[in-house]
Amino acid sequence: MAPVTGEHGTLDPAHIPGMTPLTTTEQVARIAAARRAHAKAAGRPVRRTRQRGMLLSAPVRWLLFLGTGGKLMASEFVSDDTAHGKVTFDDLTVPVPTLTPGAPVDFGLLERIMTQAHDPEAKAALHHAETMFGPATGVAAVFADRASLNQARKIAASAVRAAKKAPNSFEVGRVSSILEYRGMLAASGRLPVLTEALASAYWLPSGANPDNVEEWADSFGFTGSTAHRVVALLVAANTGPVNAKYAEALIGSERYGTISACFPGPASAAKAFRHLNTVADAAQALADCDALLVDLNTVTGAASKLTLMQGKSTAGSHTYTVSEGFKMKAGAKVILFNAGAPNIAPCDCTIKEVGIDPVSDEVWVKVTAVTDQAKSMVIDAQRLRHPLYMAAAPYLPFGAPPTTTGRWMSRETTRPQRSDMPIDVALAEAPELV
Amino acid sequence: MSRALFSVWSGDPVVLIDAPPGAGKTSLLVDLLVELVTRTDLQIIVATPTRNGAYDVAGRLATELKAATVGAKKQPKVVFRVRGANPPAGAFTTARPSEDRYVTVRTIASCAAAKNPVKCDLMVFDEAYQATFADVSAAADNAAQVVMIGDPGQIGPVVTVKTTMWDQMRAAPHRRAPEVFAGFEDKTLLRLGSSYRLGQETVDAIAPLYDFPFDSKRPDRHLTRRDGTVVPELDHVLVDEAAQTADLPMLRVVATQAAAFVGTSLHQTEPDGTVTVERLRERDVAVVVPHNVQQATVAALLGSMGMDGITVGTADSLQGGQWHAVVALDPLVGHTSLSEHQLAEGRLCVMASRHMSSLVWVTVPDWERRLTAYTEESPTRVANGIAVRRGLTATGGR
Ligand SMILES: Nc1ncnc2c1ncn2[C@@H]1O[C@H](COP(=O)(O)OP(=O)(O)OP(=O)(O)O)[C@@H](O)[C@H]1O
Ligand SMILES: [Mg+2]
Repeated sequence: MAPVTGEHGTLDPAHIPGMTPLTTTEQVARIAAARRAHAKAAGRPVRRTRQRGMLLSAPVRWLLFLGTGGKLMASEFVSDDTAHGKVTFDDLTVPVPTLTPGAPVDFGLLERIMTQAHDPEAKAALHHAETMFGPATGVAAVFADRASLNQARKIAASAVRAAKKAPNSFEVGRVSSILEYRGMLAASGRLPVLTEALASAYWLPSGANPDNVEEWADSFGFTGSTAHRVVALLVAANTGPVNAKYAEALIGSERYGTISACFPGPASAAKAFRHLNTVADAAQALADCDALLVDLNTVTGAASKLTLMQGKSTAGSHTYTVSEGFKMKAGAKVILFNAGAPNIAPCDCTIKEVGIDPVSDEVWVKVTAVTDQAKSMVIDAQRLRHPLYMAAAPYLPFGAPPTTTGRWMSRETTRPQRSDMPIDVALAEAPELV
Repeated sequence: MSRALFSVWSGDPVVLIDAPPGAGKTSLLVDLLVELVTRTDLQIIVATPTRNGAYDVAGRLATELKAATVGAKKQPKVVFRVRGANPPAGAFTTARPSEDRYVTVRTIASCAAAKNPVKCDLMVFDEAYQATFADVSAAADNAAQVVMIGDPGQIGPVVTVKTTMWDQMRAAPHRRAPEVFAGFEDKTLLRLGSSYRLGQETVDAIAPLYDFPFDSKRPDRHLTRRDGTVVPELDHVLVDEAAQTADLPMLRVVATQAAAFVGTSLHQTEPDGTVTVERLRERDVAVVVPHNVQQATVAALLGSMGMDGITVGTADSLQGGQWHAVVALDPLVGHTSLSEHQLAEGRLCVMASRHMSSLVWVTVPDWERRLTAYTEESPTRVANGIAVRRGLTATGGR
């Protein structure tokens, strides 16, 4: 944009409101503000993602929250035959179990809860919302908000300090490690934070505080007992489809990463770190291919909208113009997804070529659909005039990590035996370099 | 090189080699490998943080190995194992372990993710500062010896997760690998002190980023335009202050600058004093940008100009590469509020040090004002950012 020259001299366009194009961050903030204003007008939260906001990998047993005076409290969901009614939200109906009154959490109780939630024997499986409180191996403990998670971390950390040399210091350390590791995770199936899960799935009306559980319940209009309100929020956070492939990678890595994080030493830390990255990548992939987040994602370039260019398709490849902000390379592995038919899993493709149209200045990409699934997705989208989107394919190593020898995990190393050194090599010991 | 060869042959478990840009780190790696491949039967893997880096090393190694073994009955092979990429000229995708003498080039990530850790006698890492300790230690888990070559001033690993649990740990998983290995008891530290790629003007410009001195030992070389005028080693172009990161007219300036290098004349003085002149081809030119979205657009623009032989990439992906002429886009362009990405010294260093002959630095007129606003927040980075840019924009200018 050229500077504007007027009778008062030259004005820097950067300082004229409404004239500078918005930066990505500003555009994202604008969309978020508009959505929250829309929710306010609607009088209740509106969907932010098509997918569910919480990925439970076990049924919920515990609710941890801050009581008056900032004390950490725990309530237990007890599945019994007593009828407490049901909660229905969208298409989902869930019976409300008994919720015990909040008990103050000391280290002993915290240890019990964490041991149940991260029992290394308990299998992690993507848990469906319908059986949210059913019996299963392993349990989930839900933190009402980030502040209650941080309070739990504090309780565990001070127990670690007190137990420094005590015989049970490993067990004490384990509780703290589980919570510290959880504090770094992008999302969790065993120790989810309710407000964060809700904020992922919904736009809260503007003015309300997304870190506050009560405000979430009020804005949804949930009434009744605490148990009813909490269950309703859990159900709200859990409705919606989920991309099972990425969700399973996430909860699997959380599980293995948490186990690694509980052991001391750099080898375990390295493993835990690698799983931590997989959890983040999986969470990112879930967001990148969500059908409702596409407009935000096209602004940031995380996803691109594809428009088929007529007459340029061949048997195995299709050419599309892409939305602004496109940032991928020829050769990149990508996922295609149909935002109009969000129950169809995304499929893998490769970018063959990238170019720019000399007349329209539009960037185009040529993608090859290799699998049958990808081919039919492309054809269906064309036929039904559904918008196709593209995002970067995540790299998600799956399952148990490779077993390592830990060769470089100690500062003391062993020297390998090498064959006799030739004389010319031996002479080089006189250093030529500093 | 002979000092590094001595260390490896002596069985030093950890050899670390630090050097500024263009000091010949990758050349040393290649020379070292030529010696080791032809004179020992060690099983060797070379690992790099990026795919581009692996491609570059494999190509250079194949050329040098071939030159070193002309006339030999059996030539050692370079095996390039990067998923979904074709090997560079002279390299192969596989070898027969029972018959061939070979060295494998891979990415660190692929070694680290292998179900069974890759067994070898020696693992050599190029651009080691770009990788985390977690990745390098996993990649080298079954290697008896490691050599790590890198530049402490260039871009470090991309860490996007929280790391609070390990911030106080010496061998923290997210730290730069050579920093952790430098704390080992049995390690050998070597350093190279001159840049053979960069001219003195560029060395002076990036000097503020290093706490050790180094000089330029580049042989005399320069570019001339069609009209015979000499292209300066450092030149710069100013774009509109209001340009956003993906602004098309701004990126067109970048693409046009790069295209203009093709066909200029490269004058080089050989060690024996003879001067050679040749025309610059597309593959002698590169564009380095800070963002992926710019990379995609500039590549598309150059493609439609029929110039798809010009390399386009982000600083992170082109680290370690070199071209005769480079156009680099200042990370400040498109940003008035600055974050880590714009202030990072490693990125600035990489962008200002890929050129063997000429660099065009594309920036905004008010770059200094944009930086100064952050003096209080990060005084050193702002001071260094200003010092380097003053050097880059001291001459030329359009
Ligand atoms: N000892 C030497 N004598 C003369 N030229 C050299 C020497 N070592 C390297 N060079 C030349 O200097 C240039 C840069 O070398 P190289 O790419 O190995 O540097 P580098 O340190 O790996 O750079 P980067 O920091 O970008 O990775 C190359 O063109 C190479 O041929
Ligand atoms: Mg190099």
